[in-house]
Amino acid sequence: MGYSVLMPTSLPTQEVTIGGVQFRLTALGSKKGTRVLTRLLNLAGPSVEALAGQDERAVMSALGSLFARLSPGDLEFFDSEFGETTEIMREHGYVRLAKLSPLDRDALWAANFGDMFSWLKSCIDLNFASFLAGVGDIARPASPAKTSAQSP
Amino acid sequence: MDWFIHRVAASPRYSSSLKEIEDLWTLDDVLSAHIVLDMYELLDFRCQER
Repeated sequence: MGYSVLMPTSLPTQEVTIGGVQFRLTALGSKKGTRVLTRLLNLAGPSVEALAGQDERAVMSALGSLFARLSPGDLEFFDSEFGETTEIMREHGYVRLAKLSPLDRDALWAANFGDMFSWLKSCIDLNFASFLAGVGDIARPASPAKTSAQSP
Repeated sequence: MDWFIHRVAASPRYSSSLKEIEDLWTLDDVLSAHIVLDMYELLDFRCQER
């Protein structure tokens, strides 16, 4: 028995422009997504709730502190995983980020770390926004039920 | 064993292969499938209770 209506046949994509460069991001498959999310959550720790917040500033602030704690190995990991599913617009069309030469990568990111973090944030948004919103619901304590004032 | 993905792949309610779920489904897709499977398990349990 199968329910084809629920079976995706392609991964969602999103186009964003960062620093004047057009990026096309494709969501990670569930296997890679699980691996990346696990690493992200290990790094984010207590700031997960802020990541999941609805307030854009809080999200950026949490990501900023997260990125400040990234080791070179972490950065390489995220760059490698998201680089495989990111394309950038060049003269002749889209080119996969991971396929760029080291020289081209340097030209893209050198002295543009703000753009690099914007790209990472866009990748995180595309892949984990729904999950993080769900975490926010779980992490936020339920508001106390309103009780009517009672006299002793 | 990645139970999160294997539960969906092993379910007779979905016909996607393990490879398809790993490569073509997003985390959101798998989460949605878990919700659906949870619902069916609950319905099965309630039917058995009657």
